[in-house]
Amino acid sequence: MSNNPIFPESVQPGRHYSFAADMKLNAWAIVAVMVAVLARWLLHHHADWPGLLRSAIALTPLLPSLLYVQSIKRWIGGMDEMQRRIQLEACLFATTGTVFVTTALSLLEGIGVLQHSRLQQGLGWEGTFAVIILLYVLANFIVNRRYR
Amino acid sequence: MKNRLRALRTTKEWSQSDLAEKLGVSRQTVNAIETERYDPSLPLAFKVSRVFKLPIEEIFEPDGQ
Repeated sequence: MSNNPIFPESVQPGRHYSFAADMKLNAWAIVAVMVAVLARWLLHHHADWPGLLRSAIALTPLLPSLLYVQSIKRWIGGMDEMQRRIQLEACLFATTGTVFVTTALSLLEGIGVLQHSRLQQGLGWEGTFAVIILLYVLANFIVNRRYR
Repeated sequence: MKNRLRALRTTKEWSQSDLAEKLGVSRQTVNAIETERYDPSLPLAFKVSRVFKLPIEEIFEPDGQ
């Protein structure tokens, strides 16, 4: 147990918000999104580049994403036991909820309900990321209320 | 699990933040333990016991006793 617990509210909107703490946690997520947008732009405008190079560019967002996972792991590791439980419950809800949503979309797509819809090809990484964040924020709010 | 944390803390005239600092946890965690919404782990219960210089069973009591 750490003697200097990290307070989750330091990265949530409110009077305890700290930009430094937010960046310490979320900087790699911002880098990952920027790299993903740049990679997509490069791949769109350079369809003639060799397949190996295009594959390498397409996979570049994974590196900052892995570093983001590491910073989340460090952030959760620095919390006290109850805060850690809240965050883990919220993360579990967000990931299982996202699996539920993507599976539901896949099943609906299988019977042709989503034809001619933007969701026909699934959520894509942007949609999946948005669903995870949305469910995490919702779960965090609900679980926090339980211990308040 | 029932506990006497709030009574013991007020006897010492500590705020929740004071106790949180001594225990190395957040104020929200101290509040959740005092309101019996959260049961601390055994290591944290031992830490509480050390801070108040009392045996664990004089601070925490299982439900139904």
